[in-house]
Amino acid sequence: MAGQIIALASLKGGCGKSTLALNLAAGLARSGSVGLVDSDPQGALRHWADWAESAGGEGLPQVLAGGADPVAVIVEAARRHRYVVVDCPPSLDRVVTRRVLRRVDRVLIPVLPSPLDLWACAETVAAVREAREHNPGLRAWLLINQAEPSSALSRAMSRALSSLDVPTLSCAVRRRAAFRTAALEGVSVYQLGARGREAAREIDQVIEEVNRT
Amino acid sequence: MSKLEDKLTASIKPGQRKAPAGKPEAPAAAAPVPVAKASVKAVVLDTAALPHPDRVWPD
Repeated sequence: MAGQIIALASLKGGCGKSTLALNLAAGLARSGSVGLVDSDPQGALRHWADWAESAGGEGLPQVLAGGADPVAVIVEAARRHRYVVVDCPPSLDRVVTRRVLRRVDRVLIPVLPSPLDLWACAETVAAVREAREHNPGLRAWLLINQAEPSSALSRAMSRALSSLDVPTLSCAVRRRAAFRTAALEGVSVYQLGARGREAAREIDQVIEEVNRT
Repeated sequence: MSKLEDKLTASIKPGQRKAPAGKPEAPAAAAPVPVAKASVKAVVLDTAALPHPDRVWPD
């Protein structure tokens, strides 16, 4: 049986796709093997993996370069792993993102609590709608990333996002230093111990909600 | 809903918002095309200029 494929997609860069992809992959790896496909030409995940190796880090999921044909890499990874997590390219490469969305089972659209991200994620929602014409089983969620609970704008985002065609996960991922620290140390938040506990708990909540709904 | 929520929601393009339940999203309303009104002019019949009704017309 082919593994479950989860993509992180947004037509806007800088919304935390790669960080979420790596940490979600690390969280999923606790219940099965994970292939992490880096289809972002910026190659942040491959760099993260290389950095982890040079720093002597262990335990990161296997990172596979999407290369010129990320869909073929995803299909192959799904044969070998229980889960496949795909980091999609940002806006510069919409064609690749659209091709990936036609092949995956689930997609998470990270959105930062800002109007610019709100408008950009509305474009991504339109891309999901298009992809469903070819992939009717595609399930999608918006995920508020880098939330700041004390900010009125962060709190107002949920309501604004509810006017879009894709549901928003009830859990959010807060803006936390642990995510940046983990990258610097070449690990996921799960390997930071007490420093990453709250961040790891949030990633667990995302995994639990995506699997439950 | 707070003013901030209202403002954020209103900032999304209408075509990108979720359609109301059971109804597809209505496209943005097109600007009305001005239509020239048919003009009706009142015509006043000048009865004084008409021939007298008792006038006998030559054969």
